[in-house]
Amino acid sequence: MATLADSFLADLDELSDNEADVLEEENNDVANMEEDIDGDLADIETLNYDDLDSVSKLQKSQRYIDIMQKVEDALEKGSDISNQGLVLEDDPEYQLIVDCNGLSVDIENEIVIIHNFIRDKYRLKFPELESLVHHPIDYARVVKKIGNEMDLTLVDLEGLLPSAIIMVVSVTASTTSGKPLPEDVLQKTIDACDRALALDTAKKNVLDFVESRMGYIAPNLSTIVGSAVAAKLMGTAGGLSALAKMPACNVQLLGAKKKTLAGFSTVTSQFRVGYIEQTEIFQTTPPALRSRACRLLASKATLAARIDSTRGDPLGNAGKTLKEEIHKKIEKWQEPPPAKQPKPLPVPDSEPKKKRGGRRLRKMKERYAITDMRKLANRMQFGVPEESSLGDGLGEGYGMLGQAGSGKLRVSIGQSKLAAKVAKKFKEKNYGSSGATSGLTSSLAFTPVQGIELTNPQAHAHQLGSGTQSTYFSETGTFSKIKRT
Amino acid sequence: MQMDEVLASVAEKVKNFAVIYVVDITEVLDFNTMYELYDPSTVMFFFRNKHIMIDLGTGNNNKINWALKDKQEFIDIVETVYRGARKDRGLVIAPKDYSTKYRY
Repeated sequence: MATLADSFLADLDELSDNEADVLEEENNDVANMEEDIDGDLADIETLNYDDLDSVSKLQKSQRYIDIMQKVEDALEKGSDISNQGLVLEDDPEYQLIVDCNGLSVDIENEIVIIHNFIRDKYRLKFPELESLVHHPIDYARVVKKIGNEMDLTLVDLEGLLPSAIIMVVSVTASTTSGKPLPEDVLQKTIDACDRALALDTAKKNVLDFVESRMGYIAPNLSTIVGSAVAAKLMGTAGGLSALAKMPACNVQLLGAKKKTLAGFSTVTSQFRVGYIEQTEIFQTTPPALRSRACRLLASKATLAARIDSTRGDPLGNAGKTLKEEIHKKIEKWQEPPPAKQPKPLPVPDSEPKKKRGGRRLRKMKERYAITDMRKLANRMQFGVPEESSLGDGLGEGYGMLGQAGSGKLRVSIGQSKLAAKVAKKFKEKNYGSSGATSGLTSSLAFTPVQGIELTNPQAHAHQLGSGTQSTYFSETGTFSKIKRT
Repeated sequence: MQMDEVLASVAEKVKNFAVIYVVDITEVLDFNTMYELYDPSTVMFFFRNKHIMIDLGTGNNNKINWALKDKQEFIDIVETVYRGARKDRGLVIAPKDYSTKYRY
């Protein structure tokens, strides 16, 4: 990176100079940087990145060629229901299927590598394309179609991409910062595209072959999700046993496309569903129930795959029962809720009241509890007439209150909690006038609760601050001066 | 007619503790003198073969002899009668006072 730092410093040094010179310098530096990056990558990956063959080796490998040959032969032969071998693994066709599964995974990886290659090469020409077209095969097709063309109105992308994307691509191309590629780079890129497309067709062939044999390989799974999707699932998972080992949540996501537009959150995007989306059952469920249906399908498909991997049910009956189950469940979800029945009233007094307890209730009850004074007033001594408020038996009786022999020397009023709460509010509202600093009121206040009170004048100074109260006639307000303007 | 409507709509709700019978006094004449059934509509309450009186404030504690319009009021009266009757009270006090009934 020394050259990079140097080039930046060089830019800084020449800021004051002629702009044309600076621009030229920058271009040279950019070119230098690119070579450096390429060189670094070459160091890192120990590959000569310019050569496609060193990057993508699969198509030349013997294994690939063998399997593709066998697949094409088998496809030509057509589907023959081969011997119901006691042990599946001995069947050579089964071995071929297993190989095909592994191969399809490899082909996918290969396509990704080639896509990276094409993208790096094409970045000089049209850098924004890679963020607009995500799918590797679509990208390869578009690159091949556009070639070295700078004006996209001459290029017809119809059928390769959805029309909205075509529009975006055309608009971006008109403002792109790319430059036409040199001829050899262009040729390499086109070669890479061709190779990617060839791999894609090969993968399709493999999948077709697996699909045609799917009814024999995994009857239960094919009954539930259909043979095409079953083949795809198996292909992506890398074999029936690999599929069987996956938890159902993973099976649900096999083949899910990641539509991550840069910068936008994926939280609100469509729920995650992969190849399961293409099954007939999923397509026929109403959209509101689709996410539940997807989960259900994935779980039952996993069960079926597990049955198939152990050859537990070669005739596919388990698959049929599972499918029936799925249908029934989806029907049940779509039923309207039961009509609301008007409930008759319960028998009065038959249900005991729900009594609450706890500290809060106790404290609340204390406020209304019977005080000692009231208790004494409620009782009477035997043979001793009680005093009453109006005298002579009229008015409210005082009971044992104040009588000799009641056993209590003095009965205090006690802290009445109810009264305390009321008094607090009362006190706050009306008895702040002693805080006034005007000469009209005294600093002593006569409060009912505490008798004579001497309050802190500063404590109530803030009461002036409330803008809703008039300060002209306020008891707590002071004299104020109004300036003549 | 209005009373019939109220009774019909309330019947389902109180069915756990009260059953409502409608009797045509022009067809069943046996009890007309005994209970003095002369008004267009009369509602009387019985619990275990005993007649329950309600203090409605109108002066006549034996029956309701006008048409009640409010369903909830009627349900309240039925519930009060049930509660009192279960405790062996012969006279219960209605939750609402109808002494001013004639005054609108």
